Amino acid sequence: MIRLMVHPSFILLLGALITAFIPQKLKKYIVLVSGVISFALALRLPVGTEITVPFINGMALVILKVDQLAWIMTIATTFMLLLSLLYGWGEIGHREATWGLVYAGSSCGALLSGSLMMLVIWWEIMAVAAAFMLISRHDKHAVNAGIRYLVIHFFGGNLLLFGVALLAKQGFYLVEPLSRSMGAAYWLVLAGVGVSAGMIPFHAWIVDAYPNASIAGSVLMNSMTTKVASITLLRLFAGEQFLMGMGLLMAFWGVVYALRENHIRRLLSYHIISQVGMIITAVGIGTPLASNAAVALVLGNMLYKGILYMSTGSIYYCTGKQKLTELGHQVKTVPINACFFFIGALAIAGMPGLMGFACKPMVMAASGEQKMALLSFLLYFASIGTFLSVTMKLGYNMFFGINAAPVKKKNAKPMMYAAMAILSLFIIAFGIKPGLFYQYLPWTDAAPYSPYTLDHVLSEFQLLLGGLLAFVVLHHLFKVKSGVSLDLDWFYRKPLVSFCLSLSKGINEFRLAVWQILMDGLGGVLPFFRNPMRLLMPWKHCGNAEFRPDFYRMPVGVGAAWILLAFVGMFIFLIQAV
Amino acid sequence: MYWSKKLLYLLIPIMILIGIELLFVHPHANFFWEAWAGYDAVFGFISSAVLVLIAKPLIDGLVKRPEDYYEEIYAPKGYNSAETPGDAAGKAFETQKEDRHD
Repeated sequence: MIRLMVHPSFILLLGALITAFIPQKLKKYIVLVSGVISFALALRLPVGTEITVPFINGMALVILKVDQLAWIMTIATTFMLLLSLLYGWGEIGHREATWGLVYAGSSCGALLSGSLMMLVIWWEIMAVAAAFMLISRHDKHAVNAGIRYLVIHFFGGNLLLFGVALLAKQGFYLVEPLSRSMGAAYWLVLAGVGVSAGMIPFHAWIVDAYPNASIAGSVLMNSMTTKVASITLLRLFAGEQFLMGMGLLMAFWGVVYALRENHIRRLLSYHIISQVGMIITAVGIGTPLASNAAVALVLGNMLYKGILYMSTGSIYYCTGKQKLTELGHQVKTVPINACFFFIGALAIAGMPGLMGFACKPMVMAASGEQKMALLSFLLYFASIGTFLSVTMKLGYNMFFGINAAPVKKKNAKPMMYAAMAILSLFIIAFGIKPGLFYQYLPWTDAAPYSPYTLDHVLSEFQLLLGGLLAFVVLHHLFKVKSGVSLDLDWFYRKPLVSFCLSLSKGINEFRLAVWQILMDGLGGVLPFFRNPMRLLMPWKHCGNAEFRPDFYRMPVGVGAAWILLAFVGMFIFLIQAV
Repeated sequence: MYWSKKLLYLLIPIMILIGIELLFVHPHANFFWEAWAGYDAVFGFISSAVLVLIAKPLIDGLVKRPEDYYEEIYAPKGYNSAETPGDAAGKAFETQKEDRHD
């Protein structure tokens, strides 16, 4: 038990347990302290540690297994938890902080678990925690989105559990590369992890849930579920051909939707699908360089997607607006925020000098190294969509654009700027000197890579300028319309709901019909019992009149006669008994 | 006029970059097309145009719906708002009680 205290998850879960019972004022300090302790534990976690505990049927559960990949990912996860706590300092809701800690703890647990069974357990906790983080906002849309999140993720979790149970029957317990020869279990696990990674057709939960979280919550969610799922895919399915096609499909799907989206945080969420698609493609290639590229992209997305969510979130915090049709000219009202946004947006587009340039070209290089011409071409194609949708469309319409700036209701908190400043510092540092984080990637020794060659830098600048030229020429095509774009979640948000409602409506109709018959019958009988006095006093002919005490009052003598009669009866009865 | 001036400002750096690439860079490309000078600028322009030209009719034409599209399903008009016979009977009873007090 003492040995388990080195596990960062347990500190987070302990913190969550404490915060569940203490008042709001103290809560944020406890949350921060447990975040800091877990971050410190993650930093000090020695690579190679393994903790096992006995489980049923002689199986052993590997609760903690630290390799280079798990170590760097745990550090990144706890770091993002700390930053989102900093960002939402004083703004995080009562229950939200507790569930956020559980969420981060279970994500670390899933990253660090060495047994498949342990992975499933953390997986389910992760789903519940994220859903309750949404539900605890007491916002109608957030609660609905949270329930949908829970349903989708329980579906995925059950697929995973099914697959893991089948694997256990075949004798595989550990988180190790799986092979197609394992049959159905292989595909079940792939589907289960895929639901959390946002594979099509189960991608719509990302766009549904993330924009409905609070501003700090969406920063946290961005760096948890999809990223943990990507890393799990890398551990279990590196080199799986299917993932290449799926990744490309996701990369295009996300970008095409993001190009036409109006809601700023939904746009960013669609863009997550596209980025996870790239990560999954890299996982599908499966060479050491591609695996490194996948990890680098995951880390990069945590950082620069985090800063994008933070800056758009603080605009939402200041103005209360998050539709592009209602926003514009923000550069005058929040200039510092605009700087941070463009650092993140140019980084995600792959601008040399920022972190994206150290991550994105690695995937192209990995596909080029394997001479996969079509894959390389299509990845390049999808990557320009990032620049168009996030940097140009979102950045231009939000900070410049044609709409007037909305009224600023309140100023962003200094803590928000602090969190963004820390993130941008890391993004710039890693961009200028990629070796700073390349040295911690798991496969750097096997596949060294350096992005800064003259032709790379030139071609990246050319690509971005070409995209910018297209934006300038076709700027009228980038104007957004208000409205919601339907996605595959339409099937469970519209027809399924209508179907369930129609079932209950049918039952309701039946209930109403039965009730109508009963009431009609009662209505037929009712006149006879409406006024019993009418039957007792036939001499008072008043038709079907209501009972009126004065009108139907009997003479006093009648009552006296009844009482006398009762006494006489009793007397006779008693006499007989004697 | 405004936009054409912007175009000029954009085309000049692109030309300069292509010039540098032609003169100084020794390409180590994985595929033959990556060795062409100026390939990336042209590719960036064409692929951006293709993406946005596909996206606009596809999304706006096919799947764009009004903002409150998903709202109405939770409160469809007329559903559960009609008075059930039970309610009617209850109301009649209430009024009867009030009458009696008069």
